[in-house]
Amino acid sequence: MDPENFGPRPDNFREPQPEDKSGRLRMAFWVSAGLLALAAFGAAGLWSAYRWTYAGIETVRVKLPAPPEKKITQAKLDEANKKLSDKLAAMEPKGVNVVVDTAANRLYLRDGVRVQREAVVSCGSGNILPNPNGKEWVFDSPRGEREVLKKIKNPVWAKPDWAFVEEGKPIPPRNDPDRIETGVLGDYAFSLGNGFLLHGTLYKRMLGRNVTHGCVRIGDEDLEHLFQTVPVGTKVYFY
Amino acid sequence: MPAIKALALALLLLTGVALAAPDPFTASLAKNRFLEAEYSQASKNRFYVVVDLDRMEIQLKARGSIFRTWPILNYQQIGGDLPVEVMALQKRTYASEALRVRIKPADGDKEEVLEPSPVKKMKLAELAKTKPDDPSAPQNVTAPKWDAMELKDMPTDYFLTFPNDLMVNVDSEEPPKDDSLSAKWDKFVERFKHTYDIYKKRKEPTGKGTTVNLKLKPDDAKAFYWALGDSMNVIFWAAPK
Repeated sequence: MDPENFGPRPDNFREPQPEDKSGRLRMAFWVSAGLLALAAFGAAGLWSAYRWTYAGIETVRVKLPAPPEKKITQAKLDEANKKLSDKLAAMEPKGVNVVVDTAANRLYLRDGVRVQREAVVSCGSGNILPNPNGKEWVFDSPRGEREVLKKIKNPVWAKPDWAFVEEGKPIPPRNDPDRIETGVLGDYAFSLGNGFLLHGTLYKRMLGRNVTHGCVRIGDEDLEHLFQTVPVGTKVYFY
Repeated sequence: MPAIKALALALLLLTGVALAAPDPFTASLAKNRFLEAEYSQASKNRFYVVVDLDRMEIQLKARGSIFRTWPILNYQQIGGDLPVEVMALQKRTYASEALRVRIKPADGDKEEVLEPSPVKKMKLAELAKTKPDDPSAPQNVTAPKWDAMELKDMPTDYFLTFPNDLMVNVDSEEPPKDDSLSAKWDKFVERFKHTYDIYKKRKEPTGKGTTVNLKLKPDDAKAFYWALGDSMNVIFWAAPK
């Protein structure tokens, strides 16, 4: 008997059709594309993290300058650059100057850019005291360039308003004798304007820490040396 | 024939190099712009910062003189090119904020009371958690009478925002305690998260803006943060290559 021939086919018999794979293929394509995109995105992130963690310093890319409005030759440009460099070099501090590092609580007495003496000091605490008038006092040491305006022997402290507010006492009138306190600023002081002073201290244990209301406290020996060396008009750089 | 091929290759390479490197005039012009920018800052009585990417160091300057430098350990640039001009720092953002202490005025003649900073409070809370039988635990933990904002409380990881959509990410890390694979993996995961944060912070990571990653030593990062006053002017510099 012919195994292929089982007699007449029923009416609903349909010839077997080749399977339609296009739908599945489309699905597979999009799933793969999605996975690939995810993988690419992840790889980019990982690559960036890897570069930052293990790779060396990358090339710096800077914006190239726009061409000058007026025509200028290379020689003139080089000359202008030399002039600017010379001007900058001429601006550098010369002679005696003082540098205060408010973070490290260090004072440097310098001649030009050479350090002659290093002193441990106390700088501003950065604390905030509310002012009854609504504003507030911030106890930071100043930043930037200042100048010694006055040198004072046996300085007397005229207590400012914040000293009374901090103590919870009523603020006395301007010339009230209660404002005067002697012996707390050491033997010498340098006035830098706006009430800021470089001065001595009774609290020597606190040298090297940020404890002051903005002034710079200096130990006795260093203060004495500074008083002998630093003239009025000396620049003081705070950073 | 091989000689001709070699000559052609050499010519091609030379042309490529010539096209890639900026001409001396452009280099001089860039230097001129930088010097002018610096001169404008040096004429003032305040500090400014030069991020010198040729020397890979950050310089704190005044009157054209360098007062402090911090070496840059690693550098990465994402997005556009860096502008060489004076830019005022707009914002400093950080994860662990170094808050100032607010002094409570004393009540009449009573003793002055100072509130410890959040950083100090955290440290005190940690100390209080230590077991009493722990020999390293301090015997008497009390709130300190005095507190201040100090260098040690400054953040080591922070973002600096500048105009023209420039963001600088200052990043630092303690050297790894061990060289094991798991330690390396942890470091890598941490770095990946950090990079992701940067991308998240920048809405358009590959758009117009530029993000610069600077890696510093932790102590340097703290000192740099301290030195950066509000609206500190910063100039980035690198000779065009």
